Amino acid sequence: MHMRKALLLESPSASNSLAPLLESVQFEVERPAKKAWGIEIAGANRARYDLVLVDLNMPHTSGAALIEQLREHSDVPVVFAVDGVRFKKHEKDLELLFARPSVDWVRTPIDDTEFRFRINRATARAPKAIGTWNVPELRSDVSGRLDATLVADYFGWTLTNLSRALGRSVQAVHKTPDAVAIQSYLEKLERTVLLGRRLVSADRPGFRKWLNTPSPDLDGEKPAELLLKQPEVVVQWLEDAALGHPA
Amino acid sequence: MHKGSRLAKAVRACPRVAVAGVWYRSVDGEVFRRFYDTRKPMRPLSGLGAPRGGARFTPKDGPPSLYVAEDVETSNREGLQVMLGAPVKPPMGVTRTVYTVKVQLSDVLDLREPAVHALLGTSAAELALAWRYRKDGKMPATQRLGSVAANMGVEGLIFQSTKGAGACLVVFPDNLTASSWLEVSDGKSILDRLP
Repeated sequence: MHMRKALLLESPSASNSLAPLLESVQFEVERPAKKAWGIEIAGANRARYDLVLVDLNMPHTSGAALIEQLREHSDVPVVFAVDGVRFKKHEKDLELLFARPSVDWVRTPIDDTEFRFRINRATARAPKAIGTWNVPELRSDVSGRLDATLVADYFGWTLTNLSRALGRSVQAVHKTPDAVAIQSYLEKLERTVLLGRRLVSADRPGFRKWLNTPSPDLDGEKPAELLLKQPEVVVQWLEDAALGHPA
Repeated sequence: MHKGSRLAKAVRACPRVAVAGVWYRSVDGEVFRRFYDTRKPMRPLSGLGAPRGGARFTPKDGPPSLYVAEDVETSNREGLQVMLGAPVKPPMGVTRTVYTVKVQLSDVLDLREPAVHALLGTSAAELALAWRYRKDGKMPATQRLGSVAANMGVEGLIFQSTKGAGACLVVFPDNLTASSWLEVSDGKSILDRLP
């Protein structure tokens, strides 16, 4: 059986209880010493690890910083171990973290069943055809999150159109274009850009031409129209093309 | 296309064919490289099953299914599906890799046959309709057929590609009988085999 590989970044005592649980769900566990955590995080990607399980209270860094660092080069699933007693204190951090794809959490002390479910869910997500690196020009320099004004500009849309698709007022989107609540939708658009650059056109004018060409595969709709209604359909279309699924 | 029990009865009545030979799949170069990843290789058969979003003969979250094409040109046109008909050329740096899938099946429906169309109450035009997104919101007839056929133990369906001149084949790996198999080899070693 192919053993999956997990990177476990926890204190020695927590590691002693978490490692056997990971092994029980077919993971080979790497437990680097605390001083080597930074090096391991920098090198953690899907080729090396199937999962990163990490203490939310890491020394010298935050959960958000870790995710930013990882997502620059990798879409490896990350599960945070969160102290159940101090859970409330971390609520705001957690809200930001879990708006990101492939991020989950498990509460300590660990419940074996919940742990198994969460680990399976985190690692069962469909493989992506092409890596999930960020598209920096769609992201805010300050927060690192996707910015609706930059995304609208890339797609050649008005902010009003994009706001309508987001189900928000244009004033609200204009005020906080990188709001956490809209990241999930914007991430689908970012994925469209990433795959579109690879499969359709590397430059913006070519990409926009493609966006506005009706396709029989979309029942005569333009990708741009569908992205405003059902973005996942277009993303899946591009993923399928990369993987060679016949239409 | 017939519906419900009438469709099941029609599928049962359809003639079956054996399929033996080499079929093709075209993937993005970056996907192909992952077949040779020493740490966690992607498997060219089981790793590329039908997407969760469904496929022409696979409903969303439907049975595992693997799609291949009859010839190199058809597989490449299928792989370039998103840009066919659009006024763009593949961007610089794009690579596609075609690999072969050796197939031995004994229980397959050939949906190119007019006699099969008549039995199923369908047509070539209906089998080629859009499935990924439909303005009417209805489940595509092809997905109904694929679901019934897979439930009845059919190993696969041959259908006319909507992108190239050749045919495509969808295989339902869960239904492979003892004498049926699929294999991907690079000439030196077997990269994947089903079952």
